[in-house]
Amino acid sequence: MKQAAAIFILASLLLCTAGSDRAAPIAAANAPADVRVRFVAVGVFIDPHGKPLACYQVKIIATGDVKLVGIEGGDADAYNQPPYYDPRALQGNQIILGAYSLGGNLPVQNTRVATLMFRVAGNVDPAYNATLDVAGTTDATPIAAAVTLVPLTPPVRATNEPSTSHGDAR
Amino acid sequence: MKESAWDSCGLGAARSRSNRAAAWAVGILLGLLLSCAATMIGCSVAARPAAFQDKTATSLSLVAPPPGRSLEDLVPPQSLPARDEELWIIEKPITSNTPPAASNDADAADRSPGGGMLLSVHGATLTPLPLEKTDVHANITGLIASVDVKQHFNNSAKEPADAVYAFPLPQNAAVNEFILSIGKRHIRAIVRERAEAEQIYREARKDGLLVSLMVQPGPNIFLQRIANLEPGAGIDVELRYFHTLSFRDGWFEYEFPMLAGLRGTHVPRPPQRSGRNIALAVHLDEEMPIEAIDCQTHKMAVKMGASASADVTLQAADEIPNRDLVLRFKLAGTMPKFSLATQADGDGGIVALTLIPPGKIDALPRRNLEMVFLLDANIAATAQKAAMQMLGDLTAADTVKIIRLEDGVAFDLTPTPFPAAQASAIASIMSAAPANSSHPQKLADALGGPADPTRTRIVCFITDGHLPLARMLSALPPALGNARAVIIGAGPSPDRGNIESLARAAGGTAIDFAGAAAEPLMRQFIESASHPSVADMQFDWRGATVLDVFPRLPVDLLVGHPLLLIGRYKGDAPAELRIQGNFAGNSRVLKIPVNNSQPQTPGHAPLASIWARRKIADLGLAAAARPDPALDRQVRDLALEYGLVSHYTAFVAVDAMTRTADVGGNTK
Amino acid sequence: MMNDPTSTADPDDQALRPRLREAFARLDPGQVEIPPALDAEILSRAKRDFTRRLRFRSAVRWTAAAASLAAAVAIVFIVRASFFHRPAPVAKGDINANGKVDMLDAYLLAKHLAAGDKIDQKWDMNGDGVVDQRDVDWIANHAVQISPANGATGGTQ
Repeated sequence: MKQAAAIFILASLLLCTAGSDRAAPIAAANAPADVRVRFVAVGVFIDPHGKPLACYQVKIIATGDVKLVGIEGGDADAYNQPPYYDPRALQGNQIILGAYSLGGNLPVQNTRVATLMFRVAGNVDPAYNATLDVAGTTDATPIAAAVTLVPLTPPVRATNEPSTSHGDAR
Repeated sequence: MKESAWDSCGLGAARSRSNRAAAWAVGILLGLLLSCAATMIGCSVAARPAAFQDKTATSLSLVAPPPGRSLEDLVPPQSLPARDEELWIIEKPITSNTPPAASNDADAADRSPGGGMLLSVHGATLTPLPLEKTDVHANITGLIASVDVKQHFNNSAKEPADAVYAFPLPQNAAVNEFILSIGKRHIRAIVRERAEAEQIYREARKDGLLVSLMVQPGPNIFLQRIANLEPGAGIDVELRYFHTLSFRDGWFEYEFPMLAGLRGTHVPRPPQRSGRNIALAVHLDEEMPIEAIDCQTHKMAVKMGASASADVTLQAADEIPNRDLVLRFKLAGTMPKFSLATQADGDGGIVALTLIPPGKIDALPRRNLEMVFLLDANIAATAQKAAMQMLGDLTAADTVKIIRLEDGVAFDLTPTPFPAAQASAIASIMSAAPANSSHPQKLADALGGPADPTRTRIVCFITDGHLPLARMLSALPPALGNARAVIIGAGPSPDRGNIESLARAAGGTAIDFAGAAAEPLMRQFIESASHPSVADMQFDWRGATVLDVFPRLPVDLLVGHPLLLIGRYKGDAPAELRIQGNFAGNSRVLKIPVNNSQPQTPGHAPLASIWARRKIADLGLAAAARPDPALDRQVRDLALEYGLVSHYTAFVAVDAMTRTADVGGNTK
Repeated sequence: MMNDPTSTADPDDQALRPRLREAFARLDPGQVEIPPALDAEILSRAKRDFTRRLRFRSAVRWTAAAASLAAAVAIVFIVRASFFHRPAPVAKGDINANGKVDMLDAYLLAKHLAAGDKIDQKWDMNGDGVVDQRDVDWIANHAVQISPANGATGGTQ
């Protein structure tokens, strides 16, 4: 009985403490000079397995010293505009992206629906994890789909070389 | 026998004790459960103040506080009408018929909204990049404009370039979206702490990546930098911002910066600019019927919709005037108009109260004034001149007090108010040395004398602004009490920034005594202050918890000064607001129900952004009065939460997929 | 000074006692023998009666305790139901009524709007009196919200 009471009190305290937790303040981007800083683009790909992708919602978590520095739409015209997201998510290393399209030209195969730009500090490559909250097709029913995150490498161009195309992710 | 009987019942007695103990145990358990239930009810009550405090707070705060209790005891401190702060619209010295370009007043042009300019940076040389197209869509509802601007620039140079882009906006503009578009690609910028964003910009630039940064170096200036812009490539910059409208002479005014050319310089600007590269459309959606729409700066096509809506577009032309666009509209009706809107936002939301006074003071009774002249000893002669000029606008029924401020010390030269008619006596008092007639006091003591309840007290502070700002910001506003404030900037070189900061902190207005419009402005101020549309207002949110109202709840509603009050509510939204006051001389209670017919969106909604913007400005003033890292952090957190650019936050967008320069940032 | 309540030194009482004894003696018919069986029967009945009373009292106590406990539990649940779990048949923004607010709901409403279907006024999310794109945006923004406290999706209700 005493043991149960002790567990109960401890659990209550933990709950109270957890309730008062606040998001840790953002560390300033004052990385030491010897810390390697680079920028990476991570493509968010969704494969609707042959069904038209009318909407999606994806949760992405990054581990490591990463900062989101830009959100871009995807390849397909249907998802060309930057998706919905919560600005407050930037306080942490997670974000939920979502978008829908009423257009007729919906992707049916593996497609980049969004691109996230990250600043990465340190020599350890961060890990990215994506979870598909929901994907739906044109009758507004959920579909089985797969989400993958693919780091994209920027094409290195010679200086002064004019360019007419951008963002070829593949 | 009896003993025998009782003895034989020994077991029963023991059982009875056991039963009693069990019953006690159950009773204790029951008590605990009931206590838990009561605690939960208590918690629920505490968590739902609107629901449970309604009956108490509602009946208390409006009509008359109960004996022994002051209003401060009954309403949240932030909701108190501590200052009669409101939206004072400063008339520009330049008339709408005179293009700003024709004026050499570079400072005036700097303070007004201006056109964008993208400049490529080649070392120390700035070369303008052609602005090929500007599309503007503005939606105006009530006193709020939501503006989407899309501008297309082209780097016609043969090599990658860095660029800087200045975009003056209205002072209260809240920029909350910035999208950089390259071809079909659209990159949404992210709000970060300013230092962090600037470092990210430098790092990405050094890495040869296309990167953009947007900061706010001044109150109404936004500066955007783009690094590693590809040669021959075009980019679109899309902005969304919200701001409140100006109100002048009974007209609401929407302004958009269309002036082509550099501001703040004396470089002559052409009177005409191309009209082919700009499209502007304004949609008006008002609660009250639109009586008239007018634009004296440009030719506009007006298409009236329903009685309260209209679409206005800039007429296509090869050339249009090279000046800022000012679109005016007037709402029908002569009675004051009040509306209340709410917008849910997580645990609570935003509440917006619009108070529009009648257009004229003709039907309003005059209320006598108690004018307190607070004269800055640094500019004694000029201050006296300004005060005497203002004295001429008073009537014989008004009274005057004179306080001289010298090195932060106040000298009350008139312990007893003087009738305003005794101008010569007042003039001699002003010119007298303070030591002869008064002893030094704190400002709060000098201003804190008993107020005449039959008069409206006005504190007119005449200064050149060259005072310790922090000290004045912390001393003046609390010393004002319920007095209205007007800060008159005078002297050979008044510090306009300090004067405007003081006016904002005091909830009053600033008038430049050296400006051409000073005299009519001072007269208008006296006229409106002495003819309040509603006086002695008290606000009752009917039990709802409304906090952080900006500007602070006013005491009077004056002709020519419409108000947009925005605050945050916790818990349940207020369903109704009651205003008790003296309406055109009649004491009554006005009930204003919530009407959410205004277009609103969640998240980055106009109301939320404007509220956050005002809260940030308020914190900025507080920080100026009392530097405190905690205040800076509050500003930063607020800007980050609402996705706004501020002094502490900035937009940054990195295109990690476009490397246009060699690594090292050797952009030519 | 107060009287001693235990004192029997009342002269009237002292005088009354011999007279009472005398009166009782006159009434007493003589020595009465009580049969042991009767004594046993009285004792047996007393035991039964006392046991019955004990059982009754115990039953009453336990019934009252149980009823009180049930009432307390009921109160707790009612309070919780009233204040913590308000009846919410469909969460705000849950267009497809699947128990959570996500992008499917935004898409569904957008699709109905694009088709010009008659829209139930209850999907006026922002309370502006009309159901339009702003309500779709409301749902979409709500769906991607992350609670600052726990990092959980705000859309699930």
